[in-house]
Amino acid sequence: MNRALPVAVVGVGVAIAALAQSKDFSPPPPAWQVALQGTTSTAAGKAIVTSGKGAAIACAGCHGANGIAPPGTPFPRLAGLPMEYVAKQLFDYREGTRPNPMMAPIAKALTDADIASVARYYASMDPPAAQTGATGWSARARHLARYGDNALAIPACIDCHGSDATGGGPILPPLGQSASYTTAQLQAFRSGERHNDGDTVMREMSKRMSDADIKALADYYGGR
Amino acid sequence: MSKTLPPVDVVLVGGGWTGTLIGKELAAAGQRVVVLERGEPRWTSPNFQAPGVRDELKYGRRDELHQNTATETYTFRNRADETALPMRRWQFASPGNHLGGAGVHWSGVLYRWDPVEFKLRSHYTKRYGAKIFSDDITAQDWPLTYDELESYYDRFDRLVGASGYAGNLKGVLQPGGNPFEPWRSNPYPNPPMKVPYASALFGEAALKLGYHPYVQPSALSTRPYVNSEGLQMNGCVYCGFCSNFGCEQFAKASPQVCVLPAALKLPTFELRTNSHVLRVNLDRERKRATGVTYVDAAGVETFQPAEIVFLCAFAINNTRLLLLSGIGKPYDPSTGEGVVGRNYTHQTTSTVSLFFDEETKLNPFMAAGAAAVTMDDFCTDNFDHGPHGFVGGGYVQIQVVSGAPIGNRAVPPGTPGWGSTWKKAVKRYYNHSMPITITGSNLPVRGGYLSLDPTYTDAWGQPLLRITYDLPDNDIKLSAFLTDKGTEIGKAMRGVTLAVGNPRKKPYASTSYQSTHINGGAAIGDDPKTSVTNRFGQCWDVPNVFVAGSALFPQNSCFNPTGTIGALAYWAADAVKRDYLRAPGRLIA
Repeated sequence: MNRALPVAVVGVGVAIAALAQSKDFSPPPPAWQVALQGTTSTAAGKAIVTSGKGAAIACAGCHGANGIAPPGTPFPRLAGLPMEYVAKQLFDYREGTRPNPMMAPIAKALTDADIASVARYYASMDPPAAQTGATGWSARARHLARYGDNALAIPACIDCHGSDATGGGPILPPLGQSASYTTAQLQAFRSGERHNDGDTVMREMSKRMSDADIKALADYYGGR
Repeated sequence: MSKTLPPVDVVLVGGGWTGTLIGKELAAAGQRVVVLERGEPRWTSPNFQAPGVRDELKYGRRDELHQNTATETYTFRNRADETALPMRRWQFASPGNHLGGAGVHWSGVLYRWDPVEFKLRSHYTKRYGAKIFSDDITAQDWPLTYDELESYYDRFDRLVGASGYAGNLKGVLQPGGNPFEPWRSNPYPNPPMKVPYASALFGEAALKLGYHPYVQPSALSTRPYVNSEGLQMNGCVYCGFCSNFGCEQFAKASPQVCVLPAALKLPTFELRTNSHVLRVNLDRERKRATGVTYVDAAGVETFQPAEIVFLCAFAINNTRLLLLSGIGKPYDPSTGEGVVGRNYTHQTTSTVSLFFDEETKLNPFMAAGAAAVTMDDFCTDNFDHGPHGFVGGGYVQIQVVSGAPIGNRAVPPGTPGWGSTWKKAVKRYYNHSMPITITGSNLPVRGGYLSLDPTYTDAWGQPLLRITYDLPDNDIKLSAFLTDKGTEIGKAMRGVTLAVGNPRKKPYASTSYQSTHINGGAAIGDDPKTSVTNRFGQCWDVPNVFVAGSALFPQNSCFNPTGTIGALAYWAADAVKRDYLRAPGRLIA
C-alpha cells in the first residue's frame, strides 16, 4: 500500500549542514527516511509483528498483540507511535546509537523495507485510550512538564512533546509510557548510553535532572 | 511626590544587552550598580514557554514585547517642512521593551562589521574620489578600527554562543568559508545552523552563478553550550518562533539567558524593573551628571544619585534622553550645526518575492530567526563601485524565519486582496513561496535628524522623539542594483516559477518594515563638532555620561547591529574600568 507520506515532506524541510565547508546545502536524507519512501505495506508489517521473520522474533511476544505491552513489563507500547519514530529507532538499534541487547539482533535481522513495514503497521494501530484520574504525580513534575526550570535551563517537556504529550515525527515520541520505561530511557540518556536524540537535547536535559526529578516525571507521564 | 534614594556608583538606563552586560562588568569590578528597566521582568521559564509563547497574534501582531505606543512612540515626517505624526502601530521597526529589551525578541543574526565600515568615508574617498559621496551625505569615519574591536567581538561571541563556520582565521582564508569575512582570532564556539530547504536552494543557485554563499552566523546556539559567564544554553530546535518572540529553549542568546543569572549573583548588582527613566540630572554648570530621575512601579518620581550614568535604552531612545536632559548641542539641519540627533539611519531593505511549483515543498515553519544561506559578494566594498556611483552594499539571502500563519500569506502580484480567489492563492502558495531578502546599508543625510516633537507628548508629559528622514538617492540606486542581482539569483533557483523584485523606493515610510535597526543621533567620533561622544561612548560635554548601543553609529552598515553593539559595550566597559575610574569625571584619552 502506498500513500502520500508526510515524512517525505518533513524530511526535505531541514537539510543538515553537517559540513559547512563542503558547500553542500542539501545533503541526502537519512536511511530511515529513504526506507519509508520505498515500497512498504502494513500487511507485511503485521506478518513480521505477529510471526517474526528469520532471526527476528515476533514483536508481539513482548509488545503485545495489540501493540500494548502487558502491565508490569519493561517494554514500551508501540501502538500508534509515529512511523518515523519507530523506523528511526529500529535503524538506531541496528547501528548501536540506541544500544539494546534484545533489540539489536532483531533490528539487524530485518531489511530496510521490513523496518518500514513494521513502522507503518504500528503507526496504523490505535493507541490505548488515555487514562483519566491519573494519580501519583507531584507539583514538581507538573511544573517541569509545563514550565520547565529557569535555573537549570530546562524548557517545558510540552514545548516539544506537545501539551497532550503525543509527540510526532522521527525524534519526538509520545510520553505516555510506563514509569519504569520512562525512567530507564531518561537514565540511559543521562549516562550517554542512549545517544540517538537530536543534537544531544535529551542527553543534556536529563543530565540536569536529579533522580527525584526523573522519578517524578516518569510517574507524571506514566500515570496518564 | 518624589523621593531621593541613597547614591550608587553607576546607574544604567535599560535592561537590554548593553545595560546588563556593562552593568555586570562594572559590578564585578566592585562598582555598586543599578540597572533601571522600564518594563516588566520576564524569564525563559515560565514566561516564554509553550503553548503561550507561540501566540502570533499577541507577539507578532500586537507587539507584546515592544514599546507600547499608547504610552510612548515616535513621530515621523520625511522633511523639515512637514508636520510629523505619531506612529500608532509598529510597522517600520520593533523597539524593545521589558527585561532583556530587543535582546529577547531579536532574530539572533550575528555579524561582525567589515573593517571598511569603520573607515567608510576615507576608504571610499581614497578608492573612488570624494565625489562618490553626494553633498547631502553626512557619513563619517568611526574613531576606532575593526582591529581594535576584534577581541571584543570575540568576547561577545563566547557570551552569546555564536554559531558559524570561520571564513578567515587570523588572516588565513578557510577553504569553503565566507571569503569576505573579517579576520577573527578564534573559530565560532558552535557549528553553523541547519539549513532550511529554501535557503539550500538559494545557496545552490548562488554557487552556480559564481557567488560565495555560506551559512549565516547566529547567536542561536546550535548545541548545548556553557557560555563565558558559566551559563547554560541549549541547542536550537528550529521551532520558528524567534523574531518577535522569547525563545522557549534557552537557545537564542538573550540577557536573561546569557548575562543576568550571573550578574544577579553579584552583591554589587541590582536590577529594578518597572522603572521608567525621565531624564539625566545635571549639576548647575551642566558639566556633570548627578544621577537620573525615574518613575517607579508605584508611579513615584524617584531620584537615583550616581557617579556614572550609562544610557543603555533601546537604540535611538538614548538620543531622546540626551535631548530631554540637555546634554550636548541639538543638531540644526538649517545651519548644519549641533550634533545630538544628527546622523539618523535605518536599513535599506528590499525583497524578491519567489513563487515555486507545487513539487517544491518549502515547509516555512521549519525555521529559526537566523537560519539562512547568505552571501557577502555585494557587501561594503567587496565589488567595484566605480561603474555604479553609489556608496555601500548589502547581503542577499534566503532566511527562513517563521511559517506562522498570519504573517505568511504571500500571493503573486495581481491576486485579489480578498475573496475566494485570494483564499485559493494563499492555499496554493503557503508552502511554495519565500522571499529573498536584501539588507542594505543606509547613509545619513543633512536634512535627516532626530529631535523633540513640539506637539506630541508621552504618558509622562515629555515630548516624543521626532524622526525626520528620507532616503538619499545613493541608497535608492543601491537598492535597485542589489534587488536586480537578487532577482537574477531567484530566477536561477530550482522550482521557481515567478521572481518579482521589490526595490526600496522613496519616500522612506513609517508604515513599511525596514528591520528594527534604527540608529544614530549620538554619533561616536573624534571631533566634538561632528560627534556626541568620544571613541568610548563618553559624552564630550558631560564626561560622566556614557552612551551605548546603535545611537552611536555614524551610519548604518548592511550587517545587523547586535554583534557590533556587544563588542562596543565590552570596549566601553573596559575603558571605564581601566582608565575612567582612575580619573573620574575626565574624558578618557
